[in-house]
Order: sequence, then C-alpha cells, then structure tokens
Amino acid sequence: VTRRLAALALAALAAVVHFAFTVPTRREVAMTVDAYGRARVDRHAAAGRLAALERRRDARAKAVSAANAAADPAATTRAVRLAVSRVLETSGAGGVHLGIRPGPEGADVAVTARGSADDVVRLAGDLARPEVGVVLGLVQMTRSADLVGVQIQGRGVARP
Amino acid sequence: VIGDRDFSTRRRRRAGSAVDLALLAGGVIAMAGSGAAAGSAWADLRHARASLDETRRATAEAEGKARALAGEGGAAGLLGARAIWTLEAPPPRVVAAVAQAMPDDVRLDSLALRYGTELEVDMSVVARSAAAYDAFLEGLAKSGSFSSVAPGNESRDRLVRASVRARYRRSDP
Repeated sequence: VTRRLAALALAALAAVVHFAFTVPTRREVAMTVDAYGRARVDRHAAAGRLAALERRRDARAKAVSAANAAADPAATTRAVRLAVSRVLETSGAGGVHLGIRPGPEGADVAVTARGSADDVVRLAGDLARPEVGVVLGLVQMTRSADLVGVQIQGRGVARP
Repeated sequence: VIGDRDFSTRRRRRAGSAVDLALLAGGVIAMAGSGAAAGSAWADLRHARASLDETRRATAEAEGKARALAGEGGAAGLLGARAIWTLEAPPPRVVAAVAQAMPDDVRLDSLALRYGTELEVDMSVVARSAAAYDAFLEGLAKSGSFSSVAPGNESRDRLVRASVRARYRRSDP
C-alpha cells in the first residue's frame, strides 16, 4: 500500500509539475519567440536606418572636408581629372568632352558625351559613385536620332 | 491424506508486490520525465528571454545613434545636400523610377536632373495619345518616387509633346 501511495504521489506530482509549470512555461517560450521575431524585424529596420544615416553623414562630411581642405586647387584639380578620366575610359560613350577648372570648393567638372541611352546613364551613374568624388549639380540627357547626348556638371571633391 | 502444509515462520511475499513495484517505477519515470521537460522548458525560456533582451538592446542602441545622427543633419550647406542626393539618387536610379511610371506609348525626349537642396527633375516627353500622357502623369504621381508632379507646356499634333517637372523623393531612413 505504501508503494502504491508513493507511486500515486509521484504521478500526481509529475502532473502538477507538468500542468502548473511546464505548460505555462512552454506557452511563455512561444510568446517570447514571437516577440523575438518582431524584435528582429525592428532591429533590422533600425540598423538599416542607421546605416543610411551614416552613409549620408559620411558623404556630406567627405564633400565638405575635401572642399575645405583644398589648400592646393591645382592638386585637387589634377586628382579630380584623374578620377573622372578613369570613369570615362571605361564608359561606352563617345564624343567625350571633359572640362575641369579649379573652383572655390574643389574643382568644377563638366562632361559631355554621346552614346546609347544605357551608356550615358551608366556613365552618369559611374561619375556619381562616392569613390570618384564628384558631387553632381546637373545631369541633362537629350535624345537625338538613335543616340543620347549627356551633359554633366558637378563639383569635384576628390582628394589629391 | 494430509496435504503439504507450510509451517515456516518466514513472511510470505504478497501477491501484489510486483504490481506495486511496477507502479512505483512508473511514478518515478513520470516524475523524472516531467522534471526533465520542466527543466528543458525553463532553459528554453531563459534562452529566448536572453535573445529577446539582446535584440531589444541592440535595437535601442541603433535607434539612439540614428536619432543623434538625424539631429546632426543640415549643417553642411548646399554642397553637403548635393552630396547626399548624389549618393542616394544617382542618375540610373532616377531614370529607372521615371521608366517605371512610363507607359509603352510614351517616350522620353530629354531629362534634366538638378541636384540641390532638392532633386528637381525636368522631362520632355512624347506620347502617342493624350490618354497615354495622362497615364504617365498619373504613374509619376502614384509611384511614390516623385512629388510635386507638375505638367508644363503641352502641344498636340499627331503626337502629344509635353514637359513635366517633378521632385524626386528619396526614401527617408
């Protein structure tokens, strides 16, 4: 009888542990995992927002510091010309004319070219890449016959 | 004719003893299983809570940094603003946004992007019909990439030739 009572007590205790602790705990685990999933989405959004703001800060700081630090306008102009030339060499556009003059904040950049729509859009996009160091002012594309002419004006802030 | 009788003084084993032992073993196993399940649930809960806390802490940290950065903006003048537009709206991206709003019967003749504190977009388009041009204007306005979509001069002959001015809208971080 004692053994049976002990067995009964153990079974009862096991049931109590299961229903009073394990089941609510499992339910709480499920809720916590759901909250974790939502928190991960929030974290991803926050990280994306922070990364975009950091890119903005870096682009702004790079442009302004490069412009302010242009102690030797001729050296800046040479650096800008070199960076822009590299882009032009790899572009598929033709009829390229490049004008670079020292300006008050960096160097004034003017590029005209002709080519297919894809080529001129790619050229404008390549010039806008941060590592090239051109801050765009005006990009004008005009269709004539089968080609597109592009005129790009900007401020070169590449460091010597 | 006397049957075998047990005169021993040793206590006889009760018949139910094996069943009792089996029940006891079952109880022990049930208790052990229940305890193990409870322990596992508790460990899972601790792990899930730690992950949740860590994620919330990282989110709060990123949001704090983002707020601080957002508060810093705007002090770099026109060149800084143009640098940000150049970064976030290079010509291929703007051209793609225009193309997305453009019906088949509309062609872009010229496109000018003016980078300043805002990115102004001037377009000259040729449409086969007024309806196609209307659809283009509606597509621009609804695209989410442009605001202040303003139709300009418009001439109608066999084709519709028109100019449109709009502002490119970058996604706010």
